Amino acid sequence: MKTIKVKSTDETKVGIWEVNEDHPDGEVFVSSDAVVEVAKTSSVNKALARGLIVEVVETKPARKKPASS
Amino acid sequence: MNTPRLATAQPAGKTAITTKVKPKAMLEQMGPSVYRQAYQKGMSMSAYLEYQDPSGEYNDGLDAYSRLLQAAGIRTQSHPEMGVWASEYDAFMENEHTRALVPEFFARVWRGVQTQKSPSTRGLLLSSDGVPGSWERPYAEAADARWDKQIAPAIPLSQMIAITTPVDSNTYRSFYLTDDPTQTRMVRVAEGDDVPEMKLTSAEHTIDLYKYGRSIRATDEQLRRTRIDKIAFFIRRTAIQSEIDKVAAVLDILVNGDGNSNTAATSHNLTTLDTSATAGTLTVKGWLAFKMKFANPYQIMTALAQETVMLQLLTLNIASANVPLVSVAGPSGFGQFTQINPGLRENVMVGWTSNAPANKIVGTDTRMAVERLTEIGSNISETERFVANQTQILVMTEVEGYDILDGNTSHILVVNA
Repeated sequence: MKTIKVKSTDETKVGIWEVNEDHPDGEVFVSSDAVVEVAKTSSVNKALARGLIVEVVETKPARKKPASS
Repeated sequence: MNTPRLATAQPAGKTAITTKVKPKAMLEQMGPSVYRQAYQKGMSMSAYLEYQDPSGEYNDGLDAYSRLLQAAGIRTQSHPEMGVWASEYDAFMENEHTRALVPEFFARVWRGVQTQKSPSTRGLLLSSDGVPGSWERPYAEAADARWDKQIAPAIPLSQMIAITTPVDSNTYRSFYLTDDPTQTRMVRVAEGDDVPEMKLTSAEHTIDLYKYGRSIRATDEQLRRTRIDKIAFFIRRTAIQSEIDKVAAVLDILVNGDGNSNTAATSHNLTTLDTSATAGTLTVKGWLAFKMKFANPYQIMTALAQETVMLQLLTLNIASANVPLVSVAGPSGFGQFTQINPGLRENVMVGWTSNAPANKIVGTDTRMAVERLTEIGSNISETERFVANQTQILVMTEVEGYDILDGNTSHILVVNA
């Protein structure tokens, strides 16, 4: 199953806790400001839709332009 | 007490003759229609029978259902020391009336595991009886029938529940009090001003109720030759699994919330609570700081964790420095603090379960955390016989759901962060 990285929208509350073998370690617990890799299970999709967690998209560092001669 | 009567005959000009329902007569009426009547009244069969034939009029220590068993000559418990043995299950199959006793027998054994109390309804209608020792009742009688060999789940669901609400639908919209200190505090009100109000708010998401159930299948031969107390043992064992599953469902609600905003648990990292702690190793300071996160009026009542974390909690290293003063009371009186906040006292009910999140402690003020919703009349116990393979199946189902009463009652200690 496809995995994404998420974090909790409320740093004090639990974003999602789920035991599901599709997750990388079989269990995910998203809270505080930790970024956690999760499988896109139905519970994860529901938590995303409810705004309890948010997907973290890693921005790749911009390529250095070759020095112009 | 207004006791229902089976029959009333009043010949012209004569005094009314009333005949009280007797266990034998009630047994002869037993059948699906009696279950239907109990369901319509929103009662269990035992409670319905108790209303029909209150135990206050008997001093036999039995409740109304047990009197029907007695009338049918069915014994459900063995007393080896007296050489008395429980009847074989076949005794229930004698006729249509005794067969009708089976579903309630199943339900009573099930309820005994759920509530850890005797399913006897004898105490149901006794409150208006005469005082023991008075002329009305010169004897004191046992309020409950004898009840032994309790089998109980390791973590009883009742330990996790604040309140149980019966509902008549499969969905429920919960209510909660808005948590605003300016509204909830008892503040001084100026003369002529409005008294601050606490607002009861409807939750935005409804709570779904789900069916929980278990069944036992056995062949006719197995049942016929098995004593009833052994059947009861298997029913109890099955009921325990159902309780374990429900506790897992409650744990999920406690951590994730019930789908409504601000109902998920608040999490605290161990290394934030105790900056000198190493992630993964619980410390006394971290545990005490976690308990203090339950601010007034809340206090941690229950802590659930997996085995490894619970072992850490139960064997916390107090070391020799910074020992909590309350535990070093010496002859001089030094250290004899008395904690005012009851939450600081170590009266927490701890339990370990593999259904808890890994490397976490789920702390809850179970007095105000979870509301259990149960659909009225949804507790169904049925038996069915399959002629083709000569087996019988005993089925027990119930419809339940859970919601969070107060979103501030659950905190998680993240031991590995």
